[in-house]
Amino acid sequence: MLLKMTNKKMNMKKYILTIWVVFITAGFFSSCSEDEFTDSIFDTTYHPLDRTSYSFPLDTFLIENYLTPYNLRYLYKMEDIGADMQYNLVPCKYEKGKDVATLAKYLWFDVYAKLAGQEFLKIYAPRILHIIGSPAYNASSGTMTLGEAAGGKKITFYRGNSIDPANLEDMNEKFFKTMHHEFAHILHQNIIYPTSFRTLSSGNYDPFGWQDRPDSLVLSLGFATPYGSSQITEDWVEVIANYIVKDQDTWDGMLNAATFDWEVVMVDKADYKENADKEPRYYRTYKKDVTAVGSSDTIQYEIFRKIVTRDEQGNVVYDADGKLSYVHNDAVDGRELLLKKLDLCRTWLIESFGIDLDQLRAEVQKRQYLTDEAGNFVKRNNKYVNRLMEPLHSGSSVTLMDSLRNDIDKFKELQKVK
Amino acid sequence: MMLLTSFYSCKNEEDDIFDKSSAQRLEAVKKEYSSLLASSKNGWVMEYYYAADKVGYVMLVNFNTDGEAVVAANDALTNNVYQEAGGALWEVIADNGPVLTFNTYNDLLHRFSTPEDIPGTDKDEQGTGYEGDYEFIIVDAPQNATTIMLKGKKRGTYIRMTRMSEDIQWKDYFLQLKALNTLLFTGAPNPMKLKAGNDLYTVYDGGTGIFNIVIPNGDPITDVDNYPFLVLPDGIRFYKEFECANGDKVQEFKMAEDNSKLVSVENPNIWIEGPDPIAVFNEQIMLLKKYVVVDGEMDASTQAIYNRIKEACASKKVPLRQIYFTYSSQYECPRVIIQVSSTTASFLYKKEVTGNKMTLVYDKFDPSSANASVFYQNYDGVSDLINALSASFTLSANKCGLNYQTLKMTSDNGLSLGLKLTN
Repeated sequence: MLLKMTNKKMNMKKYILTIWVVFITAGFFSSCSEDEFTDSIFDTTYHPLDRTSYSFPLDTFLIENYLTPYNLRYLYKMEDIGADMQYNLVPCKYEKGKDVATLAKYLWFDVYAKLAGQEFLKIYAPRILHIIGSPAYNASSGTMTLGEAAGGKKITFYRGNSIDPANLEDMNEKFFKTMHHEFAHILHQNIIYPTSFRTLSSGNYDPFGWQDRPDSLVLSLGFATPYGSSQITEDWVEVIANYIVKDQDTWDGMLNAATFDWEVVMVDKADYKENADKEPRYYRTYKKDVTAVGSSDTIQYEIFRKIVTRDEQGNVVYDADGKLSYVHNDAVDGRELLLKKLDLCRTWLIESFGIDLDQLRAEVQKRQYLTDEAGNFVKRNNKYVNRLMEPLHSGSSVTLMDSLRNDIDKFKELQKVK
Repeated sequence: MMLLTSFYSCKNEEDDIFDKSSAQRLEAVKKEYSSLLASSKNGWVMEYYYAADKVGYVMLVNFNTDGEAVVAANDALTNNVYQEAGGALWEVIADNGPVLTFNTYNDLLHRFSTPEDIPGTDKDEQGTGYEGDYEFIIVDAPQNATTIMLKGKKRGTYIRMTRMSEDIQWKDYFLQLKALNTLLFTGAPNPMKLKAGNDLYTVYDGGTGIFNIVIPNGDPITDVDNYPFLVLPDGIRFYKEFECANGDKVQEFKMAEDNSKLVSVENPNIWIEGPDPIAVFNEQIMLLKKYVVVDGEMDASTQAIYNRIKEACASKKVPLRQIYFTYSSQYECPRVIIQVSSTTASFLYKKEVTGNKMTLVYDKFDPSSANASVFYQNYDGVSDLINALSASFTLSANKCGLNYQTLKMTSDNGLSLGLKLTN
């Protein structure tokens, strides 16, 4: 009897437990049915680009040459949310966006792909290139930012609307150099530059006043550019970027200027001689002129000039041949220092990424400047010739730039196909 | 307990207010607004302000279905030459809500956003420029709308777009704007008056694109507020509402058919009209300006006298240059001057103003004018004209009731003269 009653109790417990489970389960399903997942609100089927779209040619080019090979989004339609909010900015023109896209491929991506392989770019290329039309003016310092690299993933270029393939010097200075500059940042954000670089110009950086330093002065201190003299990381990438884009004549001129020492002095207005005979040339800084008390008349200029031998009265003392005798007064041999920095860059690039900097430079410049059949640079009026504006071949009316643009415009043919 | 717990937790879930998620609704409205914008075949009139307290600019915008935006303008910044700019892109994107963006550069639209120095100003605007918007929150865009309201994303400036009629060319649209602008403001020596019931507000500086409105009997320096506005083909529209003392709010005004006044669309009992023409006439001539009698704009009898004077001058081989009303500072009275070649003859008048009538009575030869008597006696028609101008006149606007550059002077006895103000 007792045994039978125990079994009944056990069955009851089981029965009650089952009921609870049912209730609980039913309760969840009945009252929380709104939490069921529905289909995605986004259309997940693959859509080919809309061929009726005005921007179909450029969008197709970007997919084929940036997105597919490198998983890179080239943003020419400005995304305000992705722009730096401290600047007033405007978008790039569509036609300029096309030019930047094709030139960046020709002078940057294709070069690295050739020398380092596509895998290198797949790893290290930024994921986003954002082209902004206007400059990014820094009102407080009177400068403008040409580009920014963020976290190794995104590069922003400014001044896209100013790009002019006919003005290679300006493009090199304001754009191509910036490309190599920002990419070098990405590379060193992945693999740090050698620590020995940090001490080479220690004490000579000026993060707040670099923009007031003349080019020749900073060269004498071993910096490639005034911006390079602002801080270590900028110094590093400016050496690389300038070496890549500057033609040999310009580079040699920079090294030559770097051999001189310079001084910054105040001279009375009456004594100011910009190009006086047998004097080093004076360059006004236009920064710290002194005016007479109670007047706006300038009485003294701040100038810089090369250091030469002078007597106690400050008059120039000439050498036995009657020439200026340059003095190397400071502890910095600008030329040697710049070449030493360059050497560290070379070593770092080859050891870290397998890239020969001199081959990289040669490839970039061969694409920019016209060469003859022997591969020597052609000069006209003693200047390197802009290959982009030259005919593709003798007698052709189609220039290299036309051909590069056609890499995009050719997709218009697909828009005609029904 | 568990049963109670499970039912309790589900009992407090709220019912959905919308049948779709916010993301779905945003996607749907993007498509809807894009279709709406592209639906106007001839584009939209965009009443653009780069700032709420600055001059506005009318631009025409076509939103092509392929994503291209075409913009046209004809304003002071284009040197009053019609310009069209295409090749830029537009899109409705999901920002913090649906936003119309012109996300590639257009030469006409983005000139207000580009951070470059503005020529001709004392300040250096490099880094800021006009600080106008090129991205706009779509505030109100009903289905099949004829007007859409946008709000600049950064500045918060309201921009209205109105569907363009398909039967007008863009160039001609701007010509209509210029024609009305000229009619209203070119050469206008007078302010306007905004009449709201018994309240009369003085409206200055229409030619600048920003009205300065002074409260009734107020001080023009301290009791003034400014109202940017735009001229449209059939009237004007203020950027912001004007609130009258009685609480009525007005913003848009249409030109009356006879060009006599601008009537409020919101309340036809409120309008903008010209001030007292007699007061303006006397004010201008006392500034030594000239109201010149316009040949061909007189009654027949007076025109005949005028022609006799012209013939008399021609017979003496000296051309009649002009006949005009001005003022004698020396004798403190109005005078009529007849200019023949480089010689003038001046005749003084007495003046009395009563209500809307100005009575002129010929007084004498201007003693400072050596030629007055010679002209009076020897040039056929001069004496008749001088005496005919002794009359009681009403003055009214000639072409436009709000612009007294041209006036019509009409006497009780049928004499009428068209007058035009010159320096």
